Amino acid sequence: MTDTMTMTTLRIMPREMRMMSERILSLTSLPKGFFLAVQDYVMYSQKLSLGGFAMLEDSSEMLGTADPSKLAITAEDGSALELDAGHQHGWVVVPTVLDLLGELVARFGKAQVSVRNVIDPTELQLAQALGGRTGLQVAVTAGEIVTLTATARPLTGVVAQDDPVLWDLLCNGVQIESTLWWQVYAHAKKALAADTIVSRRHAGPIIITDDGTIIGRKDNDDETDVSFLASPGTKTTQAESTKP
Amino acid sequence: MIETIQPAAHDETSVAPRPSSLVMSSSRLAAIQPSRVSGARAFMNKMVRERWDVSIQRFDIDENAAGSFVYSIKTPDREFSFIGFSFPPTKTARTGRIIGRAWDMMGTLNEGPATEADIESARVELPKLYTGRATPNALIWCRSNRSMRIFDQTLAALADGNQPEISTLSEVCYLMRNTGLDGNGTFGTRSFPSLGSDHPLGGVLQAQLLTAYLMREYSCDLVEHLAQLKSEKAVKLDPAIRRFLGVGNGSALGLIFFVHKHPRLIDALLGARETAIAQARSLVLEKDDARIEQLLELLRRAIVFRNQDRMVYEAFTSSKTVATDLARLVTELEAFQQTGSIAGGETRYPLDTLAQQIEAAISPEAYETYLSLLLELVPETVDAAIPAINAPDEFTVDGAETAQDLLALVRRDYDWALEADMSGPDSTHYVWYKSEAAEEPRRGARAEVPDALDLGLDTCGGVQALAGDLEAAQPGLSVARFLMAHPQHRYLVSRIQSLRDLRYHTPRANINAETFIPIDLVRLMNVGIHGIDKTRDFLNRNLRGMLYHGAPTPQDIRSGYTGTWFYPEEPILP
Repeated sequence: MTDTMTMTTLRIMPREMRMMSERILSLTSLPKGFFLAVQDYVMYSQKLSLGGFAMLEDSSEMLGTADPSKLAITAEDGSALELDAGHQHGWVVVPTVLDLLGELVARFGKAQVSVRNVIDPTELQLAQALGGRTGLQVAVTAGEIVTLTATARPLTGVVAQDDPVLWDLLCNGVQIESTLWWQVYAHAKKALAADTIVSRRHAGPIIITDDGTIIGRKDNDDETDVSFLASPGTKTTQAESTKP
Repeated sequence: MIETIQPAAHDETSVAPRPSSLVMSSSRLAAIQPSRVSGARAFMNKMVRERWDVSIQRFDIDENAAGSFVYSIKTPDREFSFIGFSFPPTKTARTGRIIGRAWDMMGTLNEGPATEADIESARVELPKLYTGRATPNALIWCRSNRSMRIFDQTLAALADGNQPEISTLSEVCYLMRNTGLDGNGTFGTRSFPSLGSDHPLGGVLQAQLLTAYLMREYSCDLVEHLAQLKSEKAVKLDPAIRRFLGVGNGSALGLIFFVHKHPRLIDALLGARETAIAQARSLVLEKDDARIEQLLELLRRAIVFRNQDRMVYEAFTSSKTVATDLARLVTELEAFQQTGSIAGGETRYPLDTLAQQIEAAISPEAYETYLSLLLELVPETVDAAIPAINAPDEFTVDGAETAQDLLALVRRDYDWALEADMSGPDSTHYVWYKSEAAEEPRRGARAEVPDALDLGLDTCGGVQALAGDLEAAQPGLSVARFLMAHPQHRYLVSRIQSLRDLRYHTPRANINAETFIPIDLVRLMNVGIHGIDKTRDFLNRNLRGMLYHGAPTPQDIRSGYTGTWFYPEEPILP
């Protein structure tokens, strides 16, 4: 009997966490070009014992109306600027903060961004972990106004050095309480398309018409159970599968 | 200032690698043929070079094909185990597609020798599949199905004391077909990047490739085992037949997502091939150089292979045509051996001259076969390049770059996408999505699946929209501030910036267009990247083929096999 059967936690690796995060975020108002870029955030949050997947589940309603264009620079003085987060969630704010820190470091050699009006401000700590892969050494000071400072940190090209949190995730994954994980899984499945008969015909080496006629060569060697393809599939499957 | 990236000849080459504008067209990518860079060939070469030891430790399977088995795989510095379970075949819910629910074998490739705890965990967890969890030492979970007709005929022949009919075997060329290889974190398996370059399976796709080879071995061992249980006069497969049989593989549209999600990997593999081709084309060869004869032998081998190919192809060039085209290359090279000239002209670089002379006159598949075979003339270059591939998937944004410079980068690297006609309905006809049934990737007309979320990478539409917004922005505006106003471009900006120094990362195609042929990119992955032979096309969206067609047996590997194993001839038995 495995550990996963005797414990209430499951070891989840980045591949599955990214997939679930991406799918759940795709159900929000965030544009595709934005949520694809932040699919790592939830697993970093989980690894750092911040909100993680529980927060993703609890924040669905709020993220459902998220709008990253609400962020605005309200003051600027050399290498320091103030950012009004427009009451957006920390995960929505971190990308812009990192971009601005990067810009200011390139211009001035150092940077400071002060953020106000952010929901779940502790999530801004992700910037400290995520800064490494962009060549930044980031420090975060908590408070009503969260202050993030940065300097340049040369990239080595070695993940373990540039992004130790990612390396830890890749090596060890994260232990997640099983009930929460299967809840996340169920939620993420809502991003997938219904398995209609028409949809089933959009794949595979043959097409089955309404009257059961098979279109296509039969030398595919599949020994296909035609009745299985002619009806919608079960909904019990819960993970992506791959083949070469 | 954005400088143009042009493939340049380096110290060892007088011929520059082919430009991305040529290589990355989807029709050219579809024509690329297996080579020394391709996964199966590269991995088999490694196993042979290092004399890996694959052996059966347990084979407790009854006459109904129910039971379990364990293989041990010893590399020079560590051991792996392949734990599997055999099931009596059933016709219910059987299909070669990912949505299938009936499998004849399920297994796990683990690090370390098999323990009783590992075996019992696999016994409990594997059948659950999507709700199961792998042990922390698991690298791959896999499934395979028999080719019922070929397996049964082979079993009957062996049980009768005979070898199976070669003509029948050659219609399929495998006993079992891969129906799923899951790893890199799926089901809790180890993440591949964490293995590291010094790990025996730390290279590109190597854990899957070892598992596929073990599937091949298992299929042969199973049919021999069942024949012995059936009859006292049963015989084993002739070693020549064991080599000839590969492991089947079916692939579909999901690989297009793979191509788009791993652009650095695609660039590294295609770049390694193109660099080696350029080096080979730059060889200064006299007419009596032994490498000319080596190439001729390989071409003749490929011609026999193609002429013996019994598969049926729908849209792909027939093997007969490819063989005829390859014969023209042989004729030219034989003439070079006699005269020292190509097409009547003197040449310092005969392989390059021949390539230039003949490209337009032969099929793309034949031409790419020629280029692939050239890699065998520069094996050290190829074999050194493969372990050096490091292709992380993460992208980052350079917030300090100006809108002006980013726009110049877009115009330099994505001119093809900017020129794509996106005005008509055909350009956005299709949507890419996954069904809730086993998450099978599918492509459908938007009108037929109006609620599906588009999972495809709309490079052309995205680049055109990005360029339009960049043109309207202040030239000196930083990308950081540009993305505050245009957050919808974040992913594409990070992708474009992160890939700026690479050449072969993104297929030049609008995958949503009516004119896009989906199988082109699946074929790239199967044939060029994985090294699958005899890939048959179905409805322009599915492929069937086989890995390790002709590959050495474990006994061959242990004993230090030498020689060429790919493009096998049909066995001739006494």
